Amino acid sequence: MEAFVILFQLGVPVALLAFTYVIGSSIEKRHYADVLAREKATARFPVLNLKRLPEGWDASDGELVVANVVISVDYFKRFLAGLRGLVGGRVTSYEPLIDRARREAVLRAKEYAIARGFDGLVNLRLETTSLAKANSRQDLAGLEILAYATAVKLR
Amino acid sequence: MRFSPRAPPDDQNVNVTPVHPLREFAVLWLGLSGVALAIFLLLTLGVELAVSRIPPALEAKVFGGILSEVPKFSAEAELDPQRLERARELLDRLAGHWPEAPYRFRLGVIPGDEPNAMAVPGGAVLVTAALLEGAETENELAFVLGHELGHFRNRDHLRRMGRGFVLALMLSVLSGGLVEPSAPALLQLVDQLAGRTLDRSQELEADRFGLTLVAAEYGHVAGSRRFFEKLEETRGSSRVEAWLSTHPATASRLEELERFAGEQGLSAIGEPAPLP
Repeated sequence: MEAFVILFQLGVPVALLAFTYVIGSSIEKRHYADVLAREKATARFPVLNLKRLPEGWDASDGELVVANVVISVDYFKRFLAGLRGLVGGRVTSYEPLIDRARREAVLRAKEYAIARGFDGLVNLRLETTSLAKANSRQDLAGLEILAYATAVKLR
Repeated sequence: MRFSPRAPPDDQNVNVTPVHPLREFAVLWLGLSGVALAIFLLLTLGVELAVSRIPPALEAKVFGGILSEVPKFSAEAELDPQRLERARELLDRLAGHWPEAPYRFRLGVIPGDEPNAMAVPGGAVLVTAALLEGAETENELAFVLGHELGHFRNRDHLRRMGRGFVLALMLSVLSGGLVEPSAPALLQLVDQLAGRTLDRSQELEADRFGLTLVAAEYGHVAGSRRFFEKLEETRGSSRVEAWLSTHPATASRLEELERFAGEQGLSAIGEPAPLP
């Protein structure tokens, strides 16, 4: 009986790690494929970080565009990040997460503007919020990226 | 200003380090486990060195108060006072055969359904009420008490305490860093497993010393096997359980004892003394 208890205690975290790794990495792969496809499709749409309209751009319409996305961390990523938290170094498990989230937010802003017939986005800014459990500062539950810009229609 | 539309190249993502997560996992986890193991071994070595250097007088002074705490949950009242008295006297007699004994031993009784005994720092031998009640002959009880005296001789009680402290230290360091919630449970497991493997050789040593004390007291070792035979009957030693429990499997213990008795030329013929 005791053997089962010990196997169970050892097995649960290992199984959880394996399970969440498989699922998490498959979700990530699919999201990346989707993001790349949409980036290719919207590549012609100009997005600028400049505060002012560039020379020669004559805007007739302008509208504030706000887009955000919330992506969650999985158990496996969090475990790896925890180990990194002990020894230091690049937290490579979180890098793809932040990368995807940022690109997704920018894409959403672009697609919104394209759908409404605008010609470009100016003064793009990004904000990041990390979602954590109420009582634990270290436990990252997820990430929210906010992208906002001014969409302009050019004459 | 000219805007040149360009789809970002797929493979030149500067924001993501190109390392496979499983490789990262393997490197970090194995690396940390290796470091933890090294620290654990070093500290265990430290405990060993310290244990042999702690003078019994100091130990008695620091832990002497423990036996006075025992009456708080003592089960003495339930026992036959004659048997208890005989047990106390027996402990003194056995200790008499160990002239280098560093302190006076005292017997304490704790409640418990299973027969069990433990050596506690300070010279206290705690036995469960079930052990005293279940003993059929004096020789059987003598062996158990002698076994505990063996632990005192090897300073096992201190060693166990020291190792427990080391593991607790490792636990707090490792779980403080790791985010994942089941880590402490994992380490608790390691503690149970590792601690138990180390204790087995200690148990066999204590067995041997117990046997020599019994032989010194009675002139023979008949009746001491009875304790083990009863254990076999009631618990039955499944192989997995045997590996996991602190005490080595009863069968191997019996074998070891017989071999030792043969080596030392201890006679197994004799009449075991009854208990009141």
